[in-house]
Amino acid sequence: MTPERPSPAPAPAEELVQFLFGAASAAALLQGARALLEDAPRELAESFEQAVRAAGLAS
Amino acid sequence: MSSKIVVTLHGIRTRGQWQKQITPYLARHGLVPYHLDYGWFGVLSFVLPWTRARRVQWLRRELRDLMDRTGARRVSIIAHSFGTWLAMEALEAENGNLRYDRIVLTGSIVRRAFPWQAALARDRWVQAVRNERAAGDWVVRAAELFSRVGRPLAPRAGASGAEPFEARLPGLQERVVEGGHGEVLNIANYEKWARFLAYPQLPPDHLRRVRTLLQQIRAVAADRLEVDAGLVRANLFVPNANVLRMVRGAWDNMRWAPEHELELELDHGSTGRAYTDGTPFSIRRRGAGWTAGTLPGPQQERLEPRLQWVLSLPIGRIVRHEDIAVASEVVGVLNVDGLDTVPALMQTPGNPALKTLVFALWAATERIRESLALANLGEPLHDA
Repeated sequence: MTPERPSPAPAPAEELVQFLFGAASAAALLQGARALLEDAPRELAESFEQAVRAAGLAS
Repeated sequence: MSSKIVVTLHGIRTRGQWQKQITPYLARHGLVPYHLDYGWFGVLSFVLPWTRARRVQWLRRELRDLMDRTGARRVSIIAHSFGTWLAMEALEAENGNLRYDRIVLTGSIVRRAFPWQAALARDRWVQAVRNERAAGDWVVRAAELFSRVGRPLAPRAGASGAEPFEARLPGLQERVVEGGHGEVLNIANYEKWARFLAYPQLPPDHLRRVRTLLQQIRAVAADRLEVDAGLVRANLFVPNANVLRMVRGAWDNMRWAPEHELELELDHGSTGRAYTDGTPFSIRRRGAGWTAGTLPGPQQERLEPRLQWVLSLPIGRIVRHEDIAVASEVVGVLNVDGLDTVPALMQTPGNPALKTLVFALWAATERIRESLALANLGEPLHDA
């Protein structure tokens, strides 16, 4: 009978959270972000649109 | 925080009238002018190596004395013609013992092969350069010719006041004006030089716009995270002398004064990683420390004790890289952070609602990027 090995300590959860945005989810992301900024001041919404246009993400 | 000192240096066959004229422009941006005058320096003195060498020695002494007396770690420079040569010869001779902050070269006779890669990028002897040149500047071309044919008497000089430096680097800005050797000292440019030298301090036009956007970003974040807006803050960090520092006044709801002097390592924590990786990061407080390391002691002591979470957004052009959105040419980091409690949404990093919020806030920083980029060049806000 093989002695049971002690189970390893659980791996620590991701400590520093990195946010990655893949192109595959760009359309849904854009739609959600626009909805979120719908009531935001015009200048902020324009700043957002300027960035997504420059990044080639605008639809 | 001490004010930035700007040393001005004139050229040959002049006593530098422009040095007096530029004073109010520098003062307007909180800069302290220090005009150096080495007297009338004729062409014959320029030709002789020992008189040139004496002036370099003199400048090294002057700059060391100035820094000793003021406690400044770096000084900024505006130099014209022979003054540009003196400034860069002194820098090279000091071999790292003397460092400049930001410099404006006008009618430069510094050799075009000057090792900017080492001076700007590798050793950080200089933080940024603005080279004002004029294609019709025959004086700097004559200096280059003399440098080639007049050896061993001639200095190592070049026509960088007419043609660009050989190096192409982000911190090396080339500007062209119409005219000749005198036209580069056009009073119409003094305001831009002062703005360039004052960076990362933002001039009023850019600061107004950045603060407005910071307020708006903070309000949207508080609303979507469902926390009291009074517990959410926003601040802006930019690289300065190898660390990230807050831009004075470019903050919202930052009431804990010691934090204004924070210095963060370029790749440390969420702010540093956002800067180096070009993607958003977040971090939360856990007990006495943080979920991803603790700041070095003196910096930790400066933190607002009530701070519980930080969301760091890199300020750069958002582009697609290997199908991932990243910020390129990152110029700073916007932190949205919060006091007392960690909002529920911030505790679920994989939550699509959080990812949408982070993306919306990140992309909405575009006009802050625009302002930082323009201010770094000394340019005003065009659509103000």
